[in-house]
Amino acid sequence: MTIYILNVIFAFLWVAVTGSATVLNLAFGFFLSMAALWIVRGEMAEQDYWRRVRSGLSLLVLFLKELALSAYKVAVMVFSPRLDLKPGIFAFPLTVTRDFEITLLANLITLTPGTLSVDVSDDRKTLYVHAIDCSDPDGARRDIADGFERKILETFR
Amino acid sequence: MTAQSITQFAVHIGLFVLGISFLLTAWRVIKGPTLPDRVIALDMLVGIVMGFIALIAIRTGFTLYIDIAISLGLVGFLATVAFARFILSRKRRGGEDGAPPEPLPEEPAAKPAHKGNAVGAAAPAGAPKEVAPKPVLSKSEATKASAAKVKIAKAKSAKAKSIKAEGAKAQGARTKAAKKSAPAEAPREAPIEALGEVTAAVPAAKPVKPKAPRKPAVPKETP
Amino acid sequence: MDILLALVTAVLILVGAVFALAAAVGLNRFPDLYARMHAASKAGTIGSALMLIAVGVHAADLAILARSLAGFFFFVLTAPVSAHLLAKAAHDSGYPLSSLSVQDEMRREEGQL
Repeated sequence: MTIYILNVIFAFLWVAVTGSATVLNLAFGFFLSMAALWIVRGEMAEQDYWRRVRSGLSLLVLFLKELALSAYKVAVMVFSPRLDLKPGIFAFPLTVTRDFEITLLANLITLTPGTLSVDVSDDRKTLYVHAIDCSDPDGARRDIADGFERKILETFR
Repeated sequence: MTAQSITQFAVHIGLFVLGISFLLTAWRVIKGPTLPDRVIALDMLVGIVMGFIALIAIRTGFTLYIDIAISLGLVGFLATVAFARFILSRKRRGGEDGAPPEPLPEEPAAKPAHKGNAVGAAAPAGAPKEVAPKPVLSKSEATKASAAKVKIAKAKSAKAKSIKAEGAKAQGARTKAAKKSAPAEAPREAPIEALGEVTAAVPAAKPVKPKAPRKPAVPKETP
Repeated sequence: MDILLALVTAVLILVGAVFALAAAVGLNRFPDLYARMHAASKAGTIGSALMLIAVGVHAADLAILARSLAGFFFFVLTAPVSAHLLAKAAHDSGYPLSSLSVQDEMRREEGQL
């Protein structure tokens, strides 16, 4: 069922992007998205579809909110007259294991105000994070674990 | 205050502010003491130019410019990724001229000696990581580099010899010129041979010397 | 309706320009390579992306808005990734952290390898 919903959504996206809302264009978009989805059919798995959609949407909202907040914090830091920073790199032990989950977590950490993910260790157990304000690394670790990692685990487990 | 005038006013202010940030970022490109500084500033430049294109799109009304901005963003992202790979590869080869990454000038002293990476482990305690790691050249590059060095060394030594030989010739009498011209031709011929050869200069140098004393007239004709 | 769209466009443009300016000033003010990456990847990305959305809103056309939203999502997803890659490359090549730094656990763990 989900693949057909995606198919319809993509057909409408095609109409929106090309800008011509004719029936012929809609049908063409439908067939084009069917071909595209057929190519990636190995990746499609459907379990608990609606719960995942809901937590996926909340992840997206969190994403955008952290993005806005981080830009605001950087602007405040830049324009303040005194600049006393204590930068540092701390190691964050990972609970998520799959590749794209680690990627998503690294992206979210980069978008958070004050942190930038630098590297993943070879055995995928640690993520090194550079923080502009590293005076409290344990607090930062707790923040990331409670906030982002839990949401990602909810969405994709 | 019509809608048009509000938009135009905002576009003008936006263009001005973006111009200032463009200049500031360009200053960082010029000043940045290390290579990654310049790369991150170039990435920001791409973002600012995307902002410029968007503002011009609003001002002229051609919304086709959005596609240009999107493709510029694509190219800029790929360029930054390529630069990052270049920085990594520079570390492994030790740089083109063996130059290590430049140290930051505002660092007061070297950082205390850490155990360091496997590549940079040769650095003594006082120096920071920036001391040249042993260049790990691949095999083909190593042979090419050594061949090039041999060629250059041969040409230099041959030139030095030819200069000495010419000086000796000018000083010597004409009667001795016949004796001296024969060895003089051998080194004069060597730079021509060595510079003419493209591949491995080592085997080419050997046949030059024994030929010259036998046929003193012939090398003069070869261009 | 026109006035509303124009106001939204103007606000987006001005906020985006201010963020771009903040990123440029931050590039010059921060003491350290890695701190500059913070400024460029967060504020710089937002500044440019907001301007793209401003164009989409100004055009009042669904196709153009969809294109500019696609550009927004693409830029917002890829700019932090490129900043992270640069940070990794710089750290592996040995560029040091600033002298203000408190700790460097990555270097410590690498040294034990």
